[in-house]
Amino acid sequence: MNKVLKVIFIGFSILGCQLATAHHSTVGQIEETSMEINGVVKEFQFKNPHSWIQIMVKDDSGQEVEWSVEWLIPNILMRQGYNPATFRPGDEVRVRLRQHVSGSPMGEFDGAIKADGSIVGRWD
Amino acid sequence: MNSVLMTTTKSVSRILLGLSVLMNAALAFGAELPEFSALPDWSGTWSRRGGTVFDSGSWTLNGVSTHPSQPGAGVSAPGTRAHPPYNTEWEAVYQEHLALRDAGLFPDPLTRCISHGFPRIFNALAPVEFVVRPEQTWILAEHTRATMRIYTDGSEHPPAEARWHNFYGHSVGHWEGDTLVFTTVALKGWRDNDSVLDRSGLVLSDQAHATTRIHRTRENGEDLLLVEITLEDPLALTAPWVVEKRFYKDAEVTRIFDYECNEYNRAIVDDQGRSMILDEDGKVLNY
Repeated sequence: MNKVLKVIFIGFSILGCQLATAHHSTVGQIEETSMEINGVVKEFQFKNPHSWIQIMVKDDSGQEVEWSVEWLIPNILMRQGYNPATFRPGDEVRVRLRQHVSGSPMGEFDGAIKADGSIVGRWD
Repeated sequence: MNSVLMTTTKSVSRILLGLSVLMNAALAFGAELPEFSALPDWSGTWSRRGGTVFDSGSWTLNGVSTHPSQPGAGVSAPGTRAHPPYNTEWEAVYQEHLALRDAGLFPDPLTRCISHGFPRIFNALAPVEFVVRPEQTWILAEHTRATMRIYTDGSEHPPAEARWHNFYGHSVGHWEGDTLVFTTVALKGWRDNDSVLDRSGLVLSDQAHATTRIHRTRENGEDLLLVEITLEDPLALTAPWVVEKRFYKDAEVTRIFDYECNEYNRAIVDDQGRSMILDEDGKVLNY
């Protein structure tokens, strides 16, 4: 990554932290620590005001559960180098997220590792 | 008179009439518009740094900063510089809103895709453009597709009884060297409970007005537009409140994208102020 793009990426990553709760409040709703799920992407909703990754995950009983994982607004993602093809239906993914405190199959996206080893978002 | 001469005469008359109308309009405004080349270069995109609130002390949640990287974050007591100089009545409203915010129950109009309005446009996320022309300056914020127009053509605010109070109000201004100075009136304020200054629940009345100064400067080797807003409100504030926002020049490759908030808004606000997240069938996921 050249220096200019790196500066832009870091700048918008900082901005992204603000954007996670830009559109609606998540006060008291999101767990502070991350969890992981393994599943298959059903749909990447690259739409305003927030993008969502819909992921089919098998629960302990083998039944498929659809998770809704919220990410940033598409505009910011575009400037970070992502696009609607970042996740494709059928992609196998390991996703790190902060789940909703209600225990619902939803949460805020931290990062993901795809089957080819590529990393999306943050995976520190 | 032959037809060619008549046509030419009519065309010249129309041009002269058009010029006359334009000149009269300019004279009516008393305008002495600056040359475009004399205006400062504010081209490109600019991103705000710092919090998305005006009262920096409100960048807290239950007394704890929600964004520790923000300098000055902390609890701000009434009377400190960061805290708006509200009168007793409006301070009570603000404290009520802060409590709702801490509980995640403040009904932010933005969640319903209502645009920022002024002065919240200077708290907008994502880059902003400042388009400078002799007769107008436009502030274009990507977030909520916000557009604010500042008339610098010599026109004045409408008389008080003829003002339509809306989210951005009515702004007129002039140039003092490289500084754009403008005043804004006819704001909605909190009259319909749908126009706020930031998510802390900071609100003003529909009698609020502002004087804003914007100029380009350099700090620590970086280009920025410094925005200083003096807010006055005879109903809500006991003194003028000066707030400041800084917009730093983005890299030239930065592009603005579309932001149609209603494209696929999965969040709604219920009558208790809760932000509800819906699944594809409209079922609430988070409550």
